Amino acid sequence: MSLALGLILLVIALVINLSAQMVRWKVKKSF
Amino acid sequence: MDYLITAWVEAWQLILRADRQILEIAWVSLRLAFWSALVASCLAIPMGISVGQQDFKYKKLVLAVLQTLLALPTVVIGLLVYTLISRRGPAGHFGLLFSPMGVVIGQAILAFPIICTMVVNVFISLDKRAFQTAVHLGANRRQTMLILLRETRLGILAAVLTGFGRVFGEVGIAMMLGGEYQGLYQDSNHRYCPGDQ
Repeated sequence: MSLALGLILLVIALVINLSAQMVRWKVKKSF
Repeated sequence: MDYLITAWVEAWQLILRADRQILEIAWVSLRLAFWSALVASCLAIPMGISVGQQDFKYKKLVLAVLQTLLALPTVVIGLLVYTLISRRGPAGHFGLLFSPMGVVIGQAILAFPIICTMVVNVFISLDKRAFQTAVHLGANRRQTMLILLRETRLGILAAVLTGFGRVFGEVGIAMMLGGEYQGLYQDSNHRYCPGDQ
């Protein structure tokens, strides 16, 4: 169960951090 | 090796079956991270704007302190908040220890310097002409601030998302201040005391 939970949390964390990174790239481009 | 294969197979089965308990735990993590990022943003964005936008005597010192706080170990935050909200601590009578609110406080402290520093950097790197043009065109204080916020909205969004991602991935504070997570999502009024079980 811990492994399943870890996988789900990993996917969510990846999505959040990737979207933050994409916004940062967009900010850099706009400057 | 068999143990590992069995664990992976079981994990995927639980995920594909959309096991209720796992989804609930993931939902609690998301919810707590959301509230932590929201609380931290409410404090860090105004402070970041005022520090980034204004020039004052101790600006460099404030920036140095904020950047140092970025490296604050999560265990230290957990211990500090633990001593504050534990039963004998100054905020002990609120009963926040081992409750979702305690976790939110700890994680908000973690996210605060991250969001604040990023907002400060966004405002420092903002073209000064945006502010000057707004003032010269007769915009009042509120209108000028709205223009600057519009110019920096993506940077602020990036700061909030980074803070959100950081607190979502944080486990030390949640364990120290939230106790065992079964009590956290099954009954938020349940107070788990170490040594009870």
